[in-house]
Amino acid sequence: MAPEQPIERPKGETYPGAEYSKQKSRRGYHSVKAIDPHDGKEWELLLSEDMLKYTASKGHGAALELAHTVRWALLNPRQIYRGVRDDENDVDDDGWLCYVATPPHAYDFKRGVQVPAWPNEVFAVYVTDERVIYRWMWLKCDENDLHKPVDHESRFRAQVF
Amino acid sequence: MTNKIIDLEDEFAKSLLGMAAETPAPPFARYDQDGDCIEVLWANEGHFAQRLDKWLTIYIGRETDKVVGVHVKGIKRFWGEILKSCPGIVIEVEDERIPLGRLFTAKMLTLPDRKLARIYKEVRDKSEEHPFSVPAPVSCG
Repeated sequence: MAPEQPIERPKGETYPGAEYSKQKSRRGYHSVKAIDPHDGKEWELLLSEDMLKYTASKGHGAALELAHTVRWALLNPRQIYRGVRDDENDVDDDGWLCYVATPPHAYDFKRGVQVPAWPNEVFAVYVTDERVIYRWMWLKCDENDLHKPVDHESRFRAQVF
Repeated sequence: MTNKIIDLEDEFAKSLLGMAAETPAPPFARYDQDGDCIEVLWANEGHFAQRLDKWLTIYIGRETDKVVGVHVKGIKRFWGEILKSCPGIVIEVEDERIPLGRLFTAKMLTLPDRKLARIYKEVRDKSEEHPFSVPAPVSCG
């Protein structure tokens, strides 16, 4: 899979995992496959067992969202952004990544069943610089680009994939 | 470009789906140490996220169109910013944790934007209905 956008690397800077292993494991964490923004191949991210249990406690819809939608988004991202900006445009979480995708399906939390993806929304998965997945959510899309989240230009430092 | 397929029969999915609650009982709340953030969900309702400021994202219910949850990022820095706006402010800590409602109350005091303050008040009030606390940053109290 080729990157959709040229990779933007600020001069003299590397981004997380510049010296890294594709595999990632840690006690109490699950390894989850994702697209590596460095080369478009696969690498592994981490998801804590505690997060897994918390998600399961929310029922079948939430569990299916993690089992399917989150993993789908990590392997089929439309964009990967790096660095979350704050309101004053200071770079905040510099090395953190956000995977954005438009999955074909969503899950109804109450009924725990698959439904068509929510119109005019994208799915975002956030990852720390330690390559730990820490949240995911549906966001409204940019009105001029259905595959990008609203405010994407001001929210992230760079699109790296 | 061919999409990569997710196997819902693999070990990860089986383990997760096997644990899924049959009758989920909100509210749900969790502090995430990796992200230094919290999520609170007051209803088991599908939702989308709307970012209000750099700290607070609210979850809007798809059926009710009401706030059904919140995500607050950077808990340690969140408190640091409150301290910058209100030097000397003290917040009561219980067993090294802060009830979330108190953190939102402190934040409300620093907001010049009344519309945003009203939303913080709404989530503060909801937080007090179902108390949940977060680890207290060292500078608290």
